Amino acid sequence: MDRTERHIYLALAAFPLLLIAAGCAVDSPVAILAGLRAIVRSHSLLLTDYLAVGGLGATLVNAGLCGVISVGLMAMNRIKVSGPFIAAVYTVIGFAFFGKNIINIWPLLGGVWLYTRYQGVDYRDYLIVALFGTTLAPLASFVAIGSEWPWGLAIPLGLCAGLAAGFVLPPLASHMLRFHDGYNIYNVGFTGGLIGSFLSAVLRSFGLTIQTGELISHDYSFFLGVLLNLSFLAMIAGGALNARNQWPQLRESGRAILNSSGRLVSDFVRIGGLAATVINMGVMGLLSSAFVLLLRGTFNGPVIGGILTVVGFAAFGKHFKNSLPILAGVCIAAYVTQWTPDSTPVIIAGLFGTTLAPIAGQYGIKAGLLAGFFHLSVVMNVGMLHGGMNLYNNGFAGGFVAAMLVPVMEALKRKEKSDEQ
Amino acid sequence: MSNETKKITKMIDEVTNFFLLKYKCEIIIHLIPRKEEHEIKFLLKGVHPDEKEFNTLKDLLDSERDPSLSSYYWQLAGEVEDGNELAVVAMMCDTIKPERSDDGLVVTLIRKNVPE
Repeated sequence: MDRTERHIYLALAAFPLLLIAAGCAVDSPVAILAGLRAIVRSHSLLLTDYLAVGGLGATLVNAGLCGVISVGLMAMNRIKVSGPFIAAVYTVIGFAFFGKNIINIWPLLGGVWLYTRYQGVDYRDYLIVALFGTTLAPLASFVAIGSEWPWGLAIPLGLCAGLAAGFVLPPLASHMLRFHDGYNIYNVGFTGGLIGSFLSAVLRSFGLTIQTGELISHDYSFFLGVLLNLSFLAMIAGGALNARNQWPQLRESGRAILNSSGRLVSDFVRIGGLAATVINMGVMGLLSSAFVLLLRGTFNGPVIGGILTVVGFAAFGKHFKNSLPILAGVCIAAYVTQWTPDSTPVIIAGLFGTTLAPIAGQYGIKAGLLAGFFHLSVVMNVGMLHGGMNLYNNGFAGGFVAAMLVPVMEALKRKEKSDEQ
Repeated sequence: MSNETKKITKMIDEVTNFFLLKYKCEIIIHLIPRKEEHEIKFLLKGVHPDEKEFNTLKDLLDSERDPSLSSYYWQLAGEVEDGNELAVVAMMCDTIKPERSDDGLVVTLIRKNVPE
């Protein structure tokens, strides 16, 4: 690893390390350990806000440690830092506020590792799937802890369930890309939704009741809002500092990013360079926070997960031009449908709904508005299929919305073109 | 890997799609399978891009092979209907070389084989 690459790794590790430091500053070691114990012993199904389960310090430490594990795995496997991997790390950190923890991510990571052993390929070739694949971490937690089977049976079964899900993820995730042609950025979420639905159907047939619900904390909103937004401002400042004396180049890079549709595979580090990408991440963080405040929401675990996922994917497909129409579409839907606009499920549907940003990027604002509008309705109805075992429920819903809309948009575009001729 | 042949055809699909949309020209494709690599040569007859366009094309194709991404995303190659990028192909190839010739633009892709 050369010096530049080492610096990029340090920059990537800075945010999870900041979370660990903040966690240690707000709570005592005893409280943090007790909180972590409560977190790893929760079933972790959607929506389990770890802030409500383990408190502020433990949740921040859990998120930071999950991020450090992700960056560590990347370094161990000599991964070149790119947009997709930045997105993966921030997604793991974000969901470590509500569903992923320092224990339940390992069976999934291990399952993908077993797949690479079976295929005789390097783990690094599928590390991106492994990191995103931790979307199914609650599957392991639920079987091991939430099933209420005897511990001697439940824990090995939970481990096996996680390993099995991880093992089948790489071929399935790759195949599922064709379902939506790369217009749903959270593709592993769509795959995870299918696997989760399949496995929860099997578990239900053995008489298991999968009870989902909402456990959400509203206690630390101000602190977390300030911490996050200061971090986003630091990202913008850091990016600008990195590009000092090269403003025309930075402007060109920014333009290249904003001109990208965002469809998979849009690696902004490759398209616009690191400085412009980091600035885009900071801007998208501030935009996401503004969206939460606009809907009068609070900064709780799931909402922070949504914001951090948007920030991560601002290195891999999202910018304000292709994301704003989706956010607006979800907003409009929230006010005209039966859902409550300031409720956490609606707010996170908006944030995670930006998984459909490439539709706005490719087909324009009206298509983006439509995608956002339909996304809210679909996402509110698909969670029951997998019983909350797939954390990227919006990626699951986004796959269906994209698969429905993209062929129609293509057909309309062709009609417009032929009318012009 | 059993998908190796499929990956080659996907690459051809994506590049052909890109150039057809861009230039609507006659394209001659030479696929040369060797023991250690596959070479795919595209001749775009009568296409003589100016310096700016040629450099843009070089930038689009300027990428090194990245199995940490292409192992997962390769299925997207050839699926795009409105080709404006070659990112997936670029990360699947060891070298991509665009060249000018009297007959037109020549683009050569080389992908080293993964041991079966």
